[in-house]
Amino acid sequence: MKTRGRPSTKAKEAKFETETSTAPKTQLGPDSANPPQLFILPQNLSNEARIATLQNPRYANDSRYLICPENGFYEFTKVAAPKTSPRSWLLSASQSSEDRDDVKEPNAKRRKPSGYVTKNANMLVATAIDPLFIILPALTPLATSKGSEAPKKLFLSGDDYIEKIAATSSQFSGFSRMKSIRDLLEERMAAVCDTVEAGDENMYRLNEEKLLGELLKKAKIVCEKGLPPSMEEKLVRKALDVPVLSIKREESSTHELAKEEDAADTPDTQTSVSTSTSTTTSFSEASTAVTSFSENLTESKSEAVPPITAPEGVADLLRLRTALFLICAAYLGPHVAESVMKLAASSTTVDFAPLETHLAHLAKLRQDALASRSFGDFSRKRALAVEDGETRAEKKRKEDEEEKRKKANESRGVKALKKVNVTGMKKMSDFFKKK
Amino acid sequence: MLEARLEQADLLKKIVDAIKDLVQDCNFDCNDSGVALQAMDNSHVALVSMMLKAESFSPYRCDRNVALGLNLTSLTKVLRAAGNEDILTLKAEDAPDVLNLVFESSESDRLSEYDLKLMDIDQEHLGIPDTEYAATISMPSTEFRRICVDLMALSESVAIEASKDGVKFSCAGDIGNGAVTLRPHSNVEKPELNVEIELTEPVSLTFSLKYLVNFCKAAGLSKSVKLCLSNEVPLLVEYQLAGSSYLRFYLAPKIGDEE
Repeated sequence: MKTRGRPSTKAKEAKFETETSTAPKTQLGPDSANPPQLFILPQNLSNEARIATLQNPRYANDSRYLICPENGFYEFTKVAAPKTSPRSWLLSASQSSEDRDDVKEPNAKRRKPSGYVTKNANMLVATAIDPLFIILPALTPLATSKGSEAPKKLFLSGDDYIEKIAATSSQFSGFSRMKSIRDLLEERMAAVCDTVEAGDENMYRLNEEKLLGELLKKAKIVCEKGLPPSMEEKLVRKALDVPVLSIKREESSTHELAKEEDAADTPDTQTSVSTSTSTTTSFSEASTAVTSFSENLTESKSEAVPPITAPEGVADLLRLRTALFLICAAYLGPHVAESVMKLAASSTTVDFAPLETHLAHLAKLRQDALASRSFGDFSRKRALAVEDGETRAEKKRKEDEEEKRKKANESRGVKALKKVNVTGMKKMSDFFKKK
Repeated sequence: MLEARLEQADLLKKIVDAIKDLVQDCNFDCNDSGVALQAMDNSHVALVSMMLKAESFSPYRCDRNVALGLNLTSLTKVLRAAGNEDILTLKAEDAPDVLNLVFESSESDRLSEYDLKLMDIDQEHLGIPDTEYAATISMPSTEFRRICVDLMALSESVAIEASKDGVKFSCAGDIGNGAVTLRPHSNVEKPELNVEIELTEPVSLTFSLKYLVNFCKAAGLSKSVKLCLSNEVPLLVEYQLAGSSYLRFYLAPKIGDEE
């Protein structure tokens, strides 16, 4: 992610507490090696706010975050037009807020051609991220070597943890000295750690129970606001579908709002209850469903939604778990996510047992239904085949025609020679050199 | 500009007939020394090389080298319209799209004219060195054709053994085996029936009969045929044409009969 664009600091009232700010002065002429990017940044950023490279808590690679000493951390979400329908932004300086506000701007400057057409219509939206996730990699070091037990957890001072992050990101070291940032991180650390006081310092050690508690809290908030429709449809409704009633055919969306990941096409698991069996698949499913969120939004809204037939509470439990999976899939390192999920399964704070039993029951029903159903029902496959069947038929026809034409000009003798057994016979080019 | 006049259309008809069952498309390369052709079959185990010297035509004029890419089946169709005794004239521009063929009947005043579309053919030319063959056998072309056809009834390949006593064509198939042996023979009255064997060392090689039968379609072009063999190199089957023009076929021997 390139972050050349520096946000303008002048606030402009905008909806949803966000403010559009274009990249700095536009350039003209040949392709800029470092083209401007569009950002939607939060309002009221302090002057100290910077975009910095930090370790991504999930993938352990470098990602860019917006750090503001007053408001905390923001992650960037890329909103892009699909590759199939190219779009671009036209950035024009005369429209920018500065120019409009500042009437005294010298005319000469305004007349100067100052526009830029970006190559693609990407937009980076900064959204708040819990500092907990930023500090988490430092709290949960990876096992040093395979097979060995996770390293013994020690109580460390908050400074030590923050220094660990600073060590991986040189850009963060400037922030790590700011008190507001330290306080913010320590506060979040305290929420998931056991603490002991040592002298005038607090020492922290990760407590996974507490971490799970925090995550569940977040998951509950997600559930209260309602899961995104695509997740609700794919991961809750479908998972709880009673097989006999599941003949309803879905319109597969052709309009695809391509996100960075094209994973939106991963086949959904209609017949297997992977949510209950393998955690990893459900992680990816959760994230998949989110990425494909926008494409299904309009359709599912218009559909009349039949009520979910499931014992009371099961649907809510599934929603909660889906949300939890999503958080784990997006923000937790795989090793942390795994231990958290294990803990969640045996946790007493939320009992997932009714959900498990219901899902197992459904899985069995589905298997039975599949076995009883004839193999003729390939509706999904057929829908696909019809689509590209046309182009394939056309292609084949063309090839056939060409071949036919070629064959028509082939003499009988040539055809007959094709059948001759030429084993043991070397090619002419083995005997005679090419000219 | 190319302009080549053949006294008898027959010659070209027979040449094309002999080649068309081996290759589909090929370039006729015309330069000031004549019209040459080199092409391989689809499997690239056989090669045909033809040279029609400028002396075979009267007159012959070729200002610039041109490659006439022709589909032999199409050429056959057009040549079928020519009578055997017709005078045939080939004409083409320097950078031609078409080959113009004119047939003039020598008896009547009939004149027919055809334009044949040319095609671009990507062909690799192989350099064929002059080889001293271990055995060179001349025999009547009809005799060679008969042997090949007869033996093909039994098997798909033939072993040719040349020794100082003679040349032996033998084959073994599912229904049995067979062999034809020719001894050197000279006929004073009809020299075209002579069988001559020049030998520096005995040779024994195996070849695909289907291909040999295919070569024998050229038997009408010449009364006698020359077979040249050496171990480890392709068999050369040569039909001498009038002047020093020739039609040659090369065929890779079968090595290691692992069937």
